[in-house]
Amino acid sequence: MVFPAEKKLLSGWGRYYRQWSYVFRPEGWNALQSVIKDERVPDLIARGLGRSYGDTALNEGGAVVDICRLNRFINWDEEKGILTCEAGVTLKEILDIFLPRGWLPYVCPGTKFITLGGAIANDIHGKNHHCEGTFGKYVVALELITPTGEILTCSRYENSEIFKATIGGIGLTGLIRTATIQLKKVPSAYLHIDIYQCKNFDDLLQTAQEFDKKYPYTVAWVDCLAQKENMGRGIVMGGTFANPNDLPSRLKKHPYLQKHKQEIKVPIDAPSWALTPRTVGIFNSWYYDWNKSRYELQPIEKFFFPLDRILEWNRIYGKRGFIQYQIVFPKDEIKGFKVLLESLSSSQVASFLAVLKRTGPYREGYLSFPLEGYSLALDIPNYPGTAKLVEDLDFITRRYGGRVYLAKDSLMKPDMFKESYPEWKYFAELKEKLDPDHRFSSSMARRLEIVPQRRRSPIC
Amino acid sequence: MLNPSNIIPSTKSVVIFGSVSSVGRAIAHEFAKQNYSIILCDINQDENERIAKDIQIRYKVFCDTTFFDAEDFDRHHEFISEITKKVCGYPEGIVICFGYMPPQEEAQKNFALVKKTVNINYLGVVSVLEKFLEKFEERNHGFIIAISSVAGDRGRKSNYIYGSSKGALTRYLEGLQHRFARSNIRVLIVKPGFMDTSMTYGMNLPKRLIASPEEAGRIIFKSWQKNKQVVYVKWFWRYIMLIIQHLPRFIFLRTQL
Ligand SMILES: Cc1cc2nc3c(=O)[nH]c(=O)nc-3n(C[C@H](O)[C@H](O)[C@H](O)COP(=O)(O)OP(=O)(O)OC[C@H]3O[C@@H](n4cnc5c(N)ncnc54)[C@H](O)[C@@H]3O)c2cc1C
Ligand SMILES: NC(=O)c1ccc[n+]([C@@H]2O[C@H](COP(=O)([O-])OP(=O)(O)OC[C@H]3O[C@@H](n4cnc5c(N)ncnc54)[C@H](OP(=O)(O)O)[C@@H]3O)[C@@H](O)[C@H]2O)c1
Repeated sequence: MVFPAEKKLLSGWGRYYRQWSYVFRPEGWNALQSVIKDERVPDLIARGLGRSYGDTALNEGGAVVDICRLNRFINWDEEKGILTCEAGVTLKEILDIFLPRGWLPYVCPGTKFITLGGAIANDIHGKNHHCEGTFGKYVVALELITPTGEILTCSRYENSEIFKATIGGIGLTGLIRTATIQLKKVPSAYLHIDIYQCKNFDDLLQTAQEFDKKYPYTVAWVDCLAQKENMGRGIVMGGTFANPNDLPSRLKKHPYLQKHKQEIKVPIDAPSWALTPRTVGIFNSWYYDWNKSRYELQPIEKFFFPLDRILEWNRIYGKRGFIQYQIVFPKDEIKGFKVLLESLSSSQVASFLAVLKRTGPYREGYLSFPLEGYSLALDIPNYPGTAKLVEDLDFITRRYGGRVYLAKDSLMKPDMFKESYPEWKYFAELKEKLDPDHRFSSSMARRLEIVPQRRRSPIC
Repeated sequence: MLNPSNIIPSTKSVVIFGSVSSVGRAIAHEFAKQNYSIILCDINQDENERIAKDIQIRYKVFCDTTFFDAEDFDRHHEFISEITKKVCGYPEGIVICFGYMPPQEEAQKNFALVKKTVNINYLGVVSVLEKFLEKFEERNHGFIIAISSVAGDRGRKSNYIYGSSKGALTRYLEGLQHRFARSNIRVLIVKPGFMDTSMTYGMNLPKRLIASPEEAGRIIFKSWQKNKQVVYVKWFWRYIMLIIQHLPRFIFLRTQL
């Protein structure tokens, strides 16, 4: 049976690229499997909620398989906290259902609007990466529909190579149909947060190191616009889960209850003059001053997903979109970090607070991002000089042995990718065996030359 | 204990026909949130079982499945007894979500498609409902929620085979409303405009007019709670259809609707 597809203009969360493709949206397993064999399309890639910023979930002129309607829980072992569900289940759904029962995914990124499939395919990390590693660590098993249409169960014991390639494999090994993950028992939905205001970069780094030893969850915000003696100033936060006994009395009996705050939606694309180094600088200073050093109790929603209250916030960067730039430096190349910050500060990019995170050594897949060291993520609005700026930043990153996160990348060059992700060779070998006809491909895969350019012409 | 025919079931229960349709699933979720026991009936048993298990995990309610083919009229009485076994008696209410829409042009040439359309959208519904209604009437309690369509409100060249089957369904449901007007049995007629489901996927419908299945499920459930008789999904379709229905014939015949 042939299933209908819709021709759509898609982009990543950064809206930097806008590309036409044919989108399938299977609602059942038969439809999902038949998509792979569909003769009409040259190649395909899976897509979750499209929260990757660049082009990992895009496939210009080919097919995109929107997985979001496959969002059913398949099995739940309450005793062990092991959950099996379809790849389209969102983190929000998992939280809504399982947090009230005391369970949380081990790894939560900065938004709950992502799918299980996306979390696996990018082997995402959270504020606890230095202690608990990436999302892939908690994937017990997964079911993969391979490029030839076969259904494989993969785990550390069965098809382990494919398992390793699929985690962090940016969708190129096939379609993840279901996955089994281990959840974490938490005592409440609240964390004790230690907030510390740091005057400059050295202060920030030192505090971040201290906090990493003290707290399982840490993150820091850096003001990239601050100059001179203030350069690299920011806020460091560390958190640990609170026990019900430490909660205010009204919550003691309902430690998993969080007040739902109404979301706000950005109604229109902001005009291009709205975001300038000046307006953004005012915001950054305000944020810095507002976050005086203190202790505070915060609900999960606020600490983990601060941006989720503003729906479609990517529209504040206007129609032209933006680039999110996230890199990681190995821990002994801290100098590179400083050079990068200097270059950002002097180029005065209108960037809201950048996120700094000390990362541990853990990564699960061949193409997983983290290295033991320091990661920095910032937004760069798209203006005529952006591509050049990113090239300069890439140059610095490369020189100090760093790498760019594929979930965020839009502009990296293939040679840099191959140098900074040396394990790509194993990945490419396995991919060749699994998918000799290059049935799975994406705009990113072709840009980074992981998959060769098409021989068949694009269909739209 | 099985089939105690004249008592109202102690626990609240609902049977959903066509539960694999995304709207059917969404409605099932709404009932599950209110702690209803649920039976899901659909022709696609594999998907149906996954949907049931999902509901059990999410809402911790009783949820079971039955294979059901709307066209197989002769066997409808069989699974009625199966259902009554499963919920220990007759359910409190029934939701009808299954449906079939053939491509209009193909249906014009192929009578088999017309038959299938009428069998599923009209005869299938009548066959199922009448088997429950007698019991509902006897115990003077129950509800029916059935999804018809705005396509049944006026015949249009783009969709009149499907439209006429839904038109017949609407008339039938209106008849039921009349029949039960003085009793404790409620019939809610649902007339969706466009919903974003597998039935319409690929048609590139105007975004502003379309309802997501979850939205539709919420609207339908709320209308049922409020004892409404007819609900359009979304609300503005009532006015769109009002205009279409009242267009004078000489104008209507010139449109491309
Ligand atoms: C506000 C915000 C904060 C973020 N914070 C973090 C963070 O702290 N840490 C972090 O690591 N990331 C972070 N991210 C990035 C985000 O977590 C990842 O991009 C994630 O992969 C997005 O999931 P998605 O469902 O939107 O996937 P998509 O963006 O739609 O797809 C991502 C990749 O997954 C593949 N994929 C999706 N589903 C399947 C499937 N079923 N089978 C095979 N492949 C599949 C796609 O092909 C694509 O390559 C953040 C993003 C935002 C917008
Ligand atoms: N989508 C719209 O815009 C729209 C507008 C107005 C009215 N409606 C009505 O809304 C209802 C729900 O439809 P939908 O949009 O969710 O489309 P859908 O996904 O196609 O749902 C129809 C369901 O009915 C099932 N079905 C088909 N033949 C059957 C049979 N012989 N026996 C039992 N079940 C059968 C289908 O199963 P299979 O998938 O296995 O075939 C499917 O699950 C339908 O009554 C439809 O007519 C829809």
